[in-house]
Amino acid sequence: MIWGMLYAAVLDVEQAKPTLYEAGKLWRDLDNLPMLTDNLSMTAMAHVAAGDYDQAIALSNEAFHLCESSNNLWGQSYSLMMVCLAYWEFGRPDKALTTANESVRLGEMAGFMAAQVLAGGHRAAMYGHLGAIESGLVMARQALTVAETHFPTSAAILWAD
Amino acid sequence: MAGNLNEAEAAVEQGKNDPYRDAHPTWNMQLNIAEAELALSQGNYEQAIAIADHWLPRLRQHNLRAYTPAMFQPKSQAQLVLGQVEAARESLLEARDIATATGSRATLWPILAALSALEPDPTAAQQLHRQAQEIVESIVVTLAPPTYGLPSSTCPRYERWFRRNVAKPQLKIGHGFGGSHGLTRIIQYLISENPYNPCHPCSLIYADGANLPYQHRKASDLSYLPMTLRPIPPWQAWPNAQHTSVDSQSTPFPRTPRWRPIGAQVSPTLTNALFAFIKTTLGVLLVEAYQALGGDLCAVAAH
Repeated sequence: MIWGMLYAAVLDVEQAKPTLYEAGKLWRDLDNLPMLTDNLSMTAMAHVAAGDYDQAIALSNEAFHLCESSNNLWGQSYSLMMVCLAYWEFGRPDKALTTANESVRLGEMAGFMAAQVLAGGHRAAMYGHLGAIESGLVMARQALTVAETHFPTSAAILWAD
Repeated sequence: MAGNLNEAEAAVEQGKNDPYRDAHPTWNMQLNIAEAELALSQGNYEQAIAIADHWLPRLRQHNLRAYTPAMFQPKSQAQLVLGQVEAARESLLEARDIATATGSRATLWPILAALSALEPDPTAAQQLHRQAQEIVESIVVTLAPPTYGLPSSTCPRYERWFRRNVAKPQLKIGHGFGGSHGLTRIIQYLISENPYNPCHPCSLIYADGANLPYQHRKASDLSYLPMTLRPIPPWQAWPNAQHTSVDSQSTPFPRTPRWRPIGAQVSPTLTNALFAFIKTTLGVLLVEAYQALGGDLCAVAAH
């Protein structure tokens, strides 16, 4: 799975996807629910980058419900972190904002900083696109505060939003 | 987005200085897109094209379709400014193909709108325009349920699009039940039933001179309004509501509503930004409405 994550991070999502699916099958066979949900969310992220939004949403939904069944707030937040972009692209800003808000909220409850930064950044950009610029800036600054506090050298993603 | 290019430049620069930026280029792609957009906004058109040309081959090679159309947009705009009309059109066509293949409707409609402006054939231009218009309509109705009758106004960006194209026929904006009467009921509902607002960015200054954050408004505060103020969820208020078409000269809103927001107050920045950005009668009010809707949807998602 680490290989899949690395492939996805360095642009090679086409290589990442089969690797992640293979890892997912192994986690499923091993009945390792925490790792399976992590894998599903990561695979969904790769699909988002590739523009395979249907697959991304399907995988995200599966991960979310598995996490929900085990009260895994961290995993729920992770499953929603990037898929909000899929909803946005599909022309569903309502679902996109709902998903981003929920990812941030669950991330705050679980202490999952990445979701607060990434989903928070996406949410801020969405508000900006919809014309609520001041609200978007407030949200971006909130996410940036988390990023600068916990990921001081990796705030670049947020700056882009 | 706010037009503060200095702040944007500083932010992009800080992002570019992230020492681990190259370790995860996929998740940093939005920074590159922002850099191209910033260059375009600053009038550095060649630089905007150069940034896009640097990344587009990599995006194509690795099939990163989520970012490709967005990277084409600043490039095509820069090409247009530089008079490279055919090149701009080719950029937009490739972006359109990718956005269509991925179902990226939010990305597709501005591309179609830009293509329609470049299309020499009036019929083809009109068709492209209509496609863009239909997508916009389908997006805005997700922000405000159809019964609101306010799809065009729920977000200013899309509203601007509607207003620019209001001369086009068959524009569905729900004018038939979206007048001041309907708006008041909607806002009254939002105030009384759904006061969620994540950033409480502004309070509304009503035509009667009162100035209260809407969270503090009660139904009785609106008693001067000439209608029933009982909280009514919109789906109950207009059970049979349907969209209606308006003719080419109609305006989406009554020109002289019986009440209206006349200002927004939280900070000079917000006031200036909103008024510069939303120069419509009801824009400020509907940003509030939209945000309140967001809160409601958030609650739904918790289940």
